[in-house]
Amino acid sequence: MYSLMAAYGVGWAVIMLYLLTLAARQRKLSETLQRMQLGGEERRVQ
Amino acid sequence: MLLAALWWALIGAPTEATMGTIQRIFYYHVPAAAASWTAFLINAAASLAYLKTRSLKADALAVAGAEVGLAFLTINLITGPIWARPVWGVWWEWDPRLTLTLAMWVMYASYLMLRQLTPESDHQPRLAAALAIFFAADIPIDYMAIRWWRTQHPQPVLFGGPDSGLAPRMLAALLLSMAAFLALMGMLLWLRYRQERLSQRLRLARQEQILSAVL
Repeated sequence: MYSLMAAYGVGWAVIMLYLLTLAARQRKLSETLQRMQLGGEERRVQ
Repeated sequence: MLLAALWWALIGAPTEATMGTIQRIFYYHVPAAAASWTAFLINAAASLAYLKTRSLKADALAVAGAEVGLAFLTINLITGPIWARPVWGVWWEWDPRLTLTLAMWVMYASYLMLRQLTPESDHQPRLAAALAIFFAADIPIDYMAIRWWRTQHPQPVLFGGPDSGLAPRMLAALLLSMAAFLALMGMLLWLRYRQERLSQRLRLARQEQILSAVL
């Protein structure tokens, strides 16, 4: 029973960890995109 | 769908006579392998498409396939030994199926490392695509390993010949888990693909900015 719980628990943990990695990467990409858009606007104003 | 698959795997399917409750890992272990192989096949097909067309979309799909496939193969490689320990008495056995699966994990991990660690250039996706096609040869060999050789790993229960098969409720649980895992794999693949496309666009925009600053 404990082995079964461990297997299912670890399996779900891997998926959750991967989802968290995807979310963190998405945040980083969105920040970079925002910075680049701001930089472009600043250059246009100058 | 995942919750229904979980219910069938833990409660709906009957308990196997010889192994008991531990056999229920099967409904997690096998669909994880199927999802990882499907993702790696998508990686190979996209790599082939990239070599033919040089399409950045194909390259993004190849990266997504390798990464998502590796996540599911990790689940398969962790749940396998947890199942093996009470049934075989050992965590690991160097039999063809297990060894080929571990080799597959190392191959796709090295593919992703290559993409991460080498400098961005036109050669990098080309080299990665060639490697991916070469690595994909492991997929059919791994699939056939339990049919070609005598292995410690159990014989196939699906498409394994006249002696293979499952009780109807066990088969229903397995098929539902397969469908749920493939759907989850598809969703993760789509998310990762969109991320990679965004990352490609940012790289191109940065290159344009640098060029315009120089000129």
